[in-house]
Amino acid sequence: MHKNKIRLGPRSMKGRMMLWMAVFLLPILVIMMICSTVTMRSYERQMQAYVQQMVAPFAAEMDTVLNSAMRYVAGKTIDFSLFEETEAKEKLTAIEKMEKLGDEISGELSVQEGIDAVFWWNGEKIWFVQNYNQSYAKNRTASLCLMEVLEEQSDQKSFYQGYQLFEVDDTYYLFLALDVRGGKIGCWFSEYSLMENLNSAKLDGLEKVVFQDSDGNLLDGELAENPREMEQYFVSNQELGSNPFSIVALWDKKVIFKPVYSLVKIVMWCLIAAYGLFVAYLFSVQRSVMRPLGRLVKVIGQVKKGEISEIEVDTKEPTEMQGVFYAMNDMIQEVKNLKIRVYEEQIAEQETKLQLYQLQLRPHFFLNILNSIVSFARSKDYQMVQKMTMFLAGHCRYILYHTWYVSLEDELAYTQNYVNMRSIQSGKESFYSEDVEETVLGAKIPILCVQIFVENAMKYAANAEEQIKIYVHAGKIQREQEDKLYIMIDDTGKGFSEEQIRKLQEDDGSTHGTEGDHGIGIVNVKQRLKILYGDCAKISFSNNEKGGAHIEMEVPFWEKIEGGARER
Amino acid sequence: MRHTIFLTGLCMLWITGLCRVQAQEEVTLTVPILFERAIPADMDEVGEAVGKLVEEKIGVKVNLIAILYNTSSSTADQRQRSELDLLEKKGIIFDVFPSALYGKGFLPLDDLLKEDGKEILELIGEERMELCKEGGVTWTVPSVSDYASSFGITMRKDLVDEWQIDLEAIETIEDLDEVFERIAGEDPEMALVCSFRTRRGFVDRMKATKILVDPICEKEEDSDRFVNYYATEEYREMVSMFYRWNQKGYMPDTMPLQNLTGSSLVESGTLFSYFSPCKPSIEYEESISCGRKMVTIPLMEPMVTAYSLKSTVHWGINEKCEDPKAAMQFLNLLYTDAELVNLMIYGIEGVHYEIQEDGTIDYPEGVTEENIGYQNTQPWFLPNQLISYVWKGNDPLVWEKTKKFNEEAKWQEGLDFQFDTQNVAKEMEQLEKILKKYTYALESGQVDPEIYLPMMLEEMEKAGAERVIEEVQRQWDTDF
Repeated sequence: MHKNKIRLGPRSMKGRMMLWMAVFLLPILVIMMICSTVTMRSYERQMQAYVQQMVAPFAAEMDTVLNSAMRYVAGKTIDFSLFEETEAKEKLTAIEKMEKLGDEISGELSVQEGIDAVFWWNGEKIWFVQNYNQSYAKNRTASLCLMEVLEEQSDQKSFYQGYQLFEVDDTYYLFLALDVRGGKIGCWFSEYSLMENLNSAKLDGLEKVVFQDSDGNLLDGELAENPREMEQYFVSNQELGSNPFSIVALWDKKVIFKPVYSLVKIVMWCLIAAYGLFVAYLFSVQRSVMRPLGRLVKVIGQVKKGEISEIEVDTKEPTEMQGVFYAMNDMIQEVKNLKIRVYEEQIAEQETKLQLYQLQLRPHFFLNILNSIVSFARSKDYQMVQKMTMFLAGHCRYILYHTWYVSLEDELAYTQNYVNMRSIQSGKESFYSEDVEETVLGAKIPILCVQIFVENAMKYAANAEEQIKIYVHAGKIQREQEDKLYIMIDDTGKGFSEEQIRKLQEDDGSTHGTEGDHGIGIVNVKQRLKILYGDCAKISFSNNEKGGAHIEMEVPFWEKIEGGARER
Repeated sequence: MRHTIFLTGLCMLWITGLCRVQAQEEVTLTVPILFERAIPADMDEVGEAVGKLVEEKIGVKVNLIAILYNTSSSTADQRQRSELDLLEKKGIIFDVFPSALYGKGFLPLDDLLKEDGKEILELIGEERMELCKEGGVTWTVPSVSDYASSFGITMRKDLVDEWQIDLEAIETIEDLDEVFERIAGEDPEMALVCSFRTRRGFVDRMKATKILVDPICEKEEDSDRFVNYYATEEYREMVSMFYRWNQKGYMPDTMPLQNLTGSSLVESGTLFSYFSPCKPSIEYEESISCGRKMVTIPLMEPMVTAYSLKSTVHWGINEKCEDPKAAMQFLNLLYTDAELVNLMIYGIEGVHYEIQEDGTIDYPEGVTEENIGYQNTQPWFLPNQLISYVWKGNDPLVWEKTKKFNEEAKWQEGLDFQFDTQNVAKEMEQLEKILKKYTYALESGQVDPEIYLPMMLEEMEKAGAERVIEEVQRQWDTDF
């Protein structure tokens, strides 16, 4: 017996749904990830170009400032004697010259934006004139640090003429020192001064700007110590065209990638919503389909086991499933009814069989025949004894060696035998005539379906004053393009009463007769016709013109299987 | 047809008249606001707030234009000049402005003051208003806050304590000689004294108490006699003392190279003290400038002098102003409305400052000097600081004390003497040039007065110094 246990597997609906979910979702997920990665990379490249474009003008400006400062310094001359000890009478002139020099440089610096100060160094001491709005304290500190650098370079006899670096209190300075007669002249820029325009431009997302030297070293103490801090930024690098430095701009990733983040957020939310909807859909399917299906499988199992006879219909379940359950309940009811019908038919069949066996055996008739034989033996009418014994043997042979079906010829032979036995037994001659087509003698008919009616007619004839004639007609006809065997049994008795006809015509399956055994036999025939032929056999009861009983049977014309094989 | 044309013309006239009235009603004054280092980030917001406030109070629209103004160097002058020229080229003309921006081009204010500037007149007082007139006309109005001045020396408090300088023993400039002598070797890397600005002489303010008539005429005390101040023994002794200080290395070298403030030298750690103005809030202001605690010792009593009156901030109305009445109303508001003054100095309450329990103001939470969106470090250019808030750290009573300082200051004798320069204009011009040539070097101790003072006096003689003194004497004798 098939067990109802549903296992989650490739063949189960649940399993297939999950499999297809994975087959459906995983590629989408992978594609989404690939698309996101490609989009991000593409956007990064675009943003890299964009931010560099944003910074480029400032870098170009810085480059210009540095180059301009270089040209300025290269064209500048300083009279170092001005800063030497002066004779007292020349002092006023020296002061005036110094004032003039200071004004000249201050004026020139007002054009040279970005330069923090112009300096000159005579090998021992450094002087500087700072630009407008500068902090003297910071510039003085810068000048002292620069002086140390210049002294060191002087000792090393370094001749580099381009921009160099020095650091003061975490601030980097670019300086230029050119050799002039008497010492060096140059200028310096603090990183803040150079990047003032860039910082004040307040570019969206720009967090920090630092310089990077030609060796790739970041000129920012904090970042130089913790290079990992750079990872939190989107980094762009813009070289200063003709100077050995580059600008490293650190951008806030959240701002730079804001459009992408927004898009990714939107996509993520859409995905989440889609997955959420999908999960909700799965829950819905689980609730609307799988659970009811599961319940269906379960209740089918219960019904099979006989634990329940009716499935409870939950109105909250989908209407389709309610329909299924209602249909299931109808089917269960039909099956129940069918079972009952089958059982009833089986019972009827069994009863019919029993009846038949009863009719076949008929002990009363059997004893009567034996009594007759004994009587003939006592009266030493051995010829009659022999005859009767032969009749009895024939009777027994027919009864014992045939079950449901016999040939028409055998049935007629048996009926003739019976008529002969009864005639001898009753001492009354019976008139029995057969009119049977040659072609139908071999047709298969239920056993005793002619003899019963002849017997009934003979039983009536026993009480009748006149001789009852019994006629049997049989032949083949076509009904609806099907061969049928018809058998008619007529007698010249008083026929059936209307009540009898009515009861005999009823198809109530009752095996009880109306008058003793007579009814039982007819009913048995009816039952057997129904069992053996279903609706293909007909039997009707009426009275003929002469008032006697007329029984008409129609059965499918079947050729008898040789050997009397048991049907059913 | 004729009726139609007539009516159309009438309508057009009416519309034009309306427009003109409309234009007249919508007056927008252009006013500068001066910043020392940079234009604040929140300038637009504050400008909008100022405009809204002024419109609410006097129905006049104001367009506040921020400009950088710094007197620290000639470079600054050049920048300012070029910035102002640029504004002019753009067609921006200030309707109301301080005289420091443009020295000329003012509208006479006498009638306007009587009509719409009564409160200004009350605040300044008749006497000062008269002294401010030139040729009998009021061209500009002076500041309420500063008109008296005193002269003193500002020192590093930490070094005063460390070197145990007895401040009470210092009453005159001569007393400093002994002090410097004693502390000379304490820090060989540090200069001891400097002027308020390195390109100015030490004693400009003090000189002003002596020189009644520019550029040389001193009226002798308890006398009506005028002398050449620069020829006095007092002057000679003073500049000799300065030269001695220089020779002893008390002063920073290369002072003439740049016009730096003494406070920036102190901030850099290379200077101990500098000559400075002396007023109630000076220690607070100089401490902020120097980035360390400073202490100021007065070297003269507060006085109202011609110099102090002239050097205070003056405000005027542009002669090209289209609505002088509205301009005077605005000026009056600037002198009297604390809300407006605080807005222009400190910005928006709650955003740029918060009022403390003691009545002073401080940064709001989360706001620092570095990230503040608005603060004006040159509040002195507004004509009446006395009605503004006091920043935390400063004396909460500073304005009361300033008012008292001004009111109790001694007025220079003969302040109301109006000298007519007409007869000696050329000589005075020449004297100015000579003084410009020599006085800075002499009064900063950079040159030997034995050599240069006689030279200067000789040149002054040749330029007609005596004639100038005689003319001054003559006019004084006539008027007084």
